[in-house]
Amino acid sequence: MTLPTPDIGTQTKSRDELAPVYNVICWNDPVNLMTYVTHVFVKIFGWEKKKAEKHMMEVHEKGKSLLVREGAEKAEFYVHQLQKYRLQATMERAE
Amino acid sequence: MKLVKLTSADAQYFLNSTELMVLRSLLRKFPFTPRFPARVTRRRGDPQTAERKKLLNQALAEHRRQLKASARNLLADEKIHSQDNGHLLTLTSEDRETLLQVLNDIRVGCWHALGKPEAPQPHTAALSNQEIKWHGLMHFTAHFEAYLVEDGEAEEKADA
Repeated sequence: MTLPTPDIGTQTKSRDELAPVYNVICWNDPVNLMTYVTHVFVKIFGWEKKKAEKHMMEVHEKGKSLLVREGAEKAEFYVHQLQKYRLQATMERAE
Repeated sequence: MKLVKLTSADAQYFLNSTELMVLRSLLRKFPFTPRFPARVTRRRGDPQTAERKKLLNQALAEHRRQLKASARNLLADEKIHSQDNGHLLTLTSEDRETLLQVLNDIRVGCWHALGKPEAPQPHTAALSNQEIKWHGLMHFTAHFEAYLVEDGEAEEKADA
């Protein structure tokens, strides 16, 4: 007896089209204080300070940090929150 | 500026008269950042980008209006208790976030006005009076931001 082989590729593509995932990215800038950026990450994402500092350092050293991966609505919400604090944040559709 | 009292509801800071005068002066300058269209993405081709950008800019404009209204009350008389050697400023947790955002808006606005330099510290003495003013404002905002953020960290420890 042979089980039917599911068409995984087609199913994945369909699901991605229905609910695309977005990377919320914070980009480096030379004006926001490092302690301020850490504070904002803690406030918005509720992270422990250590995790917030790790992402802040990634922004500082690598030019950007992927903060969270979310659906469109939540990613948009986070971009709004981050930009209200004047951080350079965008949402980029995940590959 | 120095934290003198901290509870889960609010924080009390001591400011000398010069600091209070500078802080009042800074708050009067808000909003400082020019209205420039915010970017929601750096990638082209997403058909929803235009609508998202419009919503983002509307949200930021509304937030700016709310901050402006709140900023007027941050240094209201009832929040400040004057002493012989200075002033005690009481801020709720929400007040402190508002103050941070207001100060940072001024800091970012000055940076834009200076042409968004890679190094915010001036490398030359050949600055115009206006540029000296913008650098000065960036310095003052950083002074208060640093205290407000560091005290926030202390609060997290106190609450833990």
